[in-house]
Amino acid sequence: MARGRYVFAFSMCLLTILGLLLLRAPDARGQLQTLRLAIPQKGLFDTTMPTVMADKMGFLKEEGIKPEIFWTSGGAETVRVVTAGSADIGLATGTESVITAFVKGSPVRIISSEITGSPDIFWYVRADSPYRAIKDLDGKSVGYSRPGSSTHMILQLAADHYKIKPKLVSVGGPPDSFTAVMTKQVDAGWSIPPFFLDKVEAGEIRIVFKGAELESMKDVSLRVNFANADFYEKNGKLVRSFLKALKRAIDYVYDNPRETTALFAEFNKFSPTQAEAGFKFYPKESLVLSPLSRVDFAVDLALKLKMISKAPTKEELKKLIVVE
Amino acid sequence: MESWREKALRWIFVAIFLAVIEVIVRLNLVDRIFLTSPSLIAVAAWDELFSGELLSLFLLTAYEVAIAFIVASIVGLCAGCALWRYSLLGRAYDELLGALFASPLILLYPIFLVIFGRGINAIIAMGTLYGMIPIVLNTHQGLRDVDQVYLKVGKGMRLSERQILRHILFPAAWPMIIGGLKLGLTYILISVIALEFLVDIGGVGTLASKGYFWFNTELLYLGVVGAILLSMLFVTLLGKASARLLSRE
Repeated sequence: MARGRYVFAFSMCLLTILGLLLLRAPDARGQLQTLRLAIPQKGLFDTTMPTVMADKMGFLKEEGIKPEIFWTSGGAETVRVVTAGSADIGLATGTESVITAFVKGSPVRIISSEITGSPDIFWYVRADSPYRAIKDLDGKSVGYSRPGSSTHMILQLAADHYKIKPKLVSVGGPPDSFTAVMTKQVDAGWSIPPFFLDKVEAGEIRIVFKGAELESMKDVSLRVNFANADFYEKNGKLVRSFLKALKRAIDYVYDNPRETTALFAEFNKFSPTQAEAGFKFYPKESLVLSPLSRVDFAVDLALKLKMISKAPTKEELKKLIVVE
Repeated sequence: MESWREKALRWIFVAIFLAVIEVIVRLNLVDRIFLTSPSLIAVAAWDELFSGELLSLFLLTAYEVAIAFIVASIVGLCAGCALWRYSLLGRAYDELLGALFASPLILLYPIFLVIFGRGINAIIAMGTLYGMIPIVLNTHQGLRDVDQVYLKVGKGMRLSERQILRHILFPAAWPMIIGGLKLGLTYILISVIALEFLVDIGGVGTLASKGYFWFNTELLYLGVVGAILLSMLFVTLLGKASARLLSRE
């Protein structure tokens, strides 16, 4: 009797183990590795579309990646999220911000360029404003998003280039900037396409300066994608797979402009015309993932803004930049 | 009066807390982008003090808080008295003010920027609104809670309404009113510094903002320390003022 009970218990154990193995087998074959991505400014074309398209078209899945996206408010938050290990990879963050974080001891590695040059950001004034070009804004109040941001950087370079001294005012994101301009809190504000292009079309505001006009910035990697150093050491192959999927998505975006415009419009609840106008601001060459160019520019800028007190050495930069 | 034991106990805790942070940072147990040591904050404070910027930022925030507190106190006390004096108003607005007090009024800051301009006036106005509500509510509550027996005694002694207000109502309601003033001050400090941080205008909040966005952790915490010092300064001043008023009564 007792022997029968032992045989029954043994058989049940065996069956349970077999069952678990059978259940696990298909999972193991098709298992996707979760990749936590911190992406700033939800909805902007360059920060959002490549990843969203890579996910939609299944490029990430084909590389064995299941994306888990965190939207952040900007570079400072993205760097902190990745440094803390809450996200594995941070996208579209100012090169000088990542360099500053690295110099201050944060475990980060730059894995690719995100945008080269500044094809997107523009500054505008009210339609009834007497100012026609950036040169007219000498001594006037001009808005930028936040200290140390791309807009802050471009505005300072433009001021140097055109030899003007505007009063720089931190106004926040495009909606805050628009409010500040329309209520005359500042003389000029900034935006990024396609936000407020409809207002330009309607004649309510007038563009006075585009970041693309700055020749000195055309070959500068303005924003980069970066990873947590510990994560990169342990998952280098996964990071490379992610970049492969991202590159495929960027190619797909430019090979299929209609589909891209439709997705961009749907994602942001824009009209297709508005989305198309926004898409036109971004030439494909601005979204190349490699090479990472003119790092010296970002280092000089970080020094100029007193974000760092001394430039990183060549060895330190070699450790930081792992772009292939 | 505070005993030396109470003071010692408080400062021993502060010293241990700071020492633990110093050790954690020096042993690199936490990333410097998140936390920095008190000694490095002190060095940054010295540098900023030497450049003259720290003092001007500190004074600017103190000025904003002081103006907002004075306006909020005057309007709040008058409004609280009015709610008590005219019970219909009290019944109509008490719950509404309570609901407003619990809502995140800071989200209204863009409207304040539009109305008052992109400057310290908007910060002072926002702080005034934030600080005024608890002062109104506590003044109303304090006056309402005064024991009716005292009022009957006052009337029996043929005191005028003004005398009753001065010698009976206010002394009896004072602890509650002081609670409202302290709460109002706290909310003013929070809103002023939060708005300075958000819109990059004004005093120590901008210092913290610069520190956060430029990854300068020392500056970030210097802003926080500045806010704590301001809070201590104002709470001490308010405590002394209320003690003096109570002792007179």
